[in-house]
Amino acid sequence: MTTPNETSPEDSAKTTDGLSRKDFLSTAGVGMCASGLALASAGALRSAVPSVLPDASAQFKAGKSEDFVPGTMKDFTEENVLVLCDADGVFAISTVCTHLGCIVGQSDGGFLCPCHGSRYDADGNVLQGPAPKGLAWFDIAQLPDGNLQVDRAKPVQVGTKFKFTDTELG
Amino acid sequence: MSNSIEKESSALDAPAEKTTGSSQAGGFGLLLENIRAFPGNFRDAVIRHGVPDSQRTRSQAVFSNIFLHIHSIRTHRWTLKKSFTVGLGVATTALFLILSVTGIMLMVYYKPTEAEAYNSIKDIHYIVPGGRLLRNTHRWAANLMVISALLHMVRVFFTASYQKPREFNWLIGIALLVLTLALSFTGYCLPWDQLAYWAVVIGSNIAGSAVELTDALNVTQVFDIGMMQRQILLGASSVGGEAILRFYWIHCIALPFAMTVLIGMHFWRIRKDGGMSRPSDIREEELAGLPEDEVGKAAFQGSGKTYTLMCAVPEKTLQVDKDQENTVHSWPHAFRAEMAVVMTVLAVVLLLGVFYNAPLKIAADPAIPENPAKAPWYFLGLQEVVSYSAFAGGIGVPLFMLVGLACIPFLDRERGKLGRWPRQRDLRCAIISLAFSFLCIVATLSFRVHFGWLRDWWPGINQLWIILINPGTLVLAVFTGYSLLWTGRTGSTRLGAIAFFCCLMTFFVVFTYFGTVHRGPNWDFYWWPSQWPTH
Ligand code: HEM
Ligand code: FES
Repeated sequence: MTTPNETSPEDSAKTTDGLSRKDFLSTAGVGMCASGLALASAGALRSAVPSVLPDASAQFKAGKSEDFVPGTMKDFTEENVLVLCDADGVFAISTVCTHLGCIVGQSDGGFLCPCHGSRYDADGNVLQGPAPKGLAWFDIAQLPDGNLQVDRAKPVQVGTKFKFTDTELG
Repeated sequence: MSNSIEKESSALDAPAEKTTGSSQAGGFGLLLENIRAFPGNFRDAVIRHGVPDSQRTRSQAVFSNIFLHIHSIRTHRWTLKKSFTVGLGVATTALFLILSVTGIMLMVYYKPTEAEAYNSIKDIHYIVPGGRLLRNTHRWAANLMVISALLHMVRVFFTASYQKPREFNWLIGIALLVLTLALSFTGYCLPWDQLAYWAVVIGSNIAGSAVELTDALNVTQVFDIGMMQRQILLGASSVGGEAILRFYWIHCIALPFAMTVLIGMHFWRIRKDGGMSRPSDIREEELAGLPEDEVGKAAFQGSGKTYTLMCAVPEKTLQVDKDQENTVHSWPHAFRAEMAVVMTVLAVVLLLGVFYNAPLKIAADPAIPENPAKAPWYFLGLQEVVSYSAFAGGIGVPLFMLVGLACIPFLDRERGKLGRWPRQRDLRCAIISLAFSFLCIVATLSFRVHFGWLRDWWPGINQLWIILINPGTLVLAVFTGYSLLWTGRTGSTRLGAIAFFCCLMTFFVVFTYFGTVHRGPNWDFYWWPSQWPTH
């Protein structure tokens, strides 16, 4: 076997940039094999990235507006959201710690994460610990049937509260 | 080249065909005779050599067997020194084999679905005949494998066995260590109890913790690599049935396959690197008590030419040890030593399995994490760093350590220390470095427990600062500088490597200890677990 860089008389015919014909062909061959294998593998691996996420819907119903009076607190443990009501309106705070996703508990008028000790104030702003940002607030909208719907896919600014248009809240 | 040996030897081995007596009883007689000769012929067909009691048959026993011929025909006596390898590589291999067998058996009953996983583990534990022992054995072997792979790395490091030409095998070794940890971690997740569930939540969020970095740099909108990694791992954006299936597949197919291939390469490389490392200046008394055999002695007393070895096989092309007078036949000496390690490991694992049950917590509850929620012990050091910053502890620090380890054989190319545990100067460097790094870490951790850290002083601080500067990254930076100083001061790269490696060892041990013993509910500091508040 001759190796590509051994030049025998018949391949001394060089292309313009000095690459021999045989070198060129073998480089091209290796390149094509490599890119073929790479593309084939990428195609096979693509399936591992889900295109449809099998998660539960991001939206859920938090109850009728008449269920909410200032001071109401509903803990949706399945959805990991706390829906609260005060004089300014209804708001939804995530109970998922922004550090690594443990579920925070309530303590001292704020929140405390058991996993690595992140502390948040009552609005979910970070006070202490490794959490890089505050607890998420989610959008609340009223459905035609009067139910309030929380949308976990729509984070909102801290302090955004849902106000009833009529005088239900008194 | 070696073809000719095989041909020649198989021609030699083939027992002389019996041609007598065939004509007496015609065809049936012939048949009868063949039937009578069946056991012998069958044996000869399977095993092409006689009882391994002569030099030739002992050599043949090794190289005619696909499994045994991983070994060379002769083994250097230094390799058999217990105080050299401590049998740790073989022990790790034995544990991997035990894990493979018990794991395959567990697959018969384990059901990788959200609804059934936990109960199927309970079935294995309480109902399946022998299931409890199988599960216990699997669990304890997994823990031991982490320990033995780590200790094996420690021995390879301190005997300088990573040096040329073994750099690549050191890298394969690091890959094997990562695979071992990944196998353990994915295994922990399968029972789907509280430990499993929250380990997956935390683990997958660590995979996603690049978001901490992209957030701090404000580029998450365009480049959310954290979320992508998380979704590949979980098959969803939250932890559930898809995640179990993926972890199951990774644990039972992908990682064991990769492990098998890499272990094969690891062994192949040992052969190609000229066998195990050993010093060039071995004194006879250092080998006292190790087996010897006639070939070695003959070579020693004779002219010293290497071909004397090959009186076993009349060819001189097989790969042989250079230092012939100090080699012995691998059969039985090396195999006996290996088998002793394998049987010891098996005994330890079985005893543990009989007397201690593998833990199983209550079923996964996505609403309430355990408090404290602790990862498997070998990750508790990292979990401590994770409690400063997810990205630093989950990705930054481990990556730095792995890359640091991988660089060692390329940064230290000093010759002459091969195959011996550190002495004098090297030993002193190791002890000083261990003490230094120990004090550094204890001081930093005490400071952090007493005074808190950046976020406690400036609540609004950008997370980037905490990713960069926290007790974990800080001590590692100090350690790197410290090791460079050793090299700078002494002009020896080996001393720098020793200093660095010792610092990493202390880091692993002290942080792991700290996370295990001194962290309680809410990851608060406690002197002892007995002081944890009960509720
Ligand atoms: C799952 C893991 C591993 C297995 C099954 C394994 C297995 C082995 C075995 C059986 C040996 C023969 C020598 C002995 O028994 O000590 C060996 C040698 C070696 N291993 Fe490993 N090993 C593993 C991990 C590692 C790690 C983590 C490293 C280092 C980063 C490493 C680097 C080496 C090197 C450089 C040698 C050659 C040593 C010499 O020539 O003295 N291995 N390994
Ligand atoms: S997950 Fe909440 S502090 Fe780590």
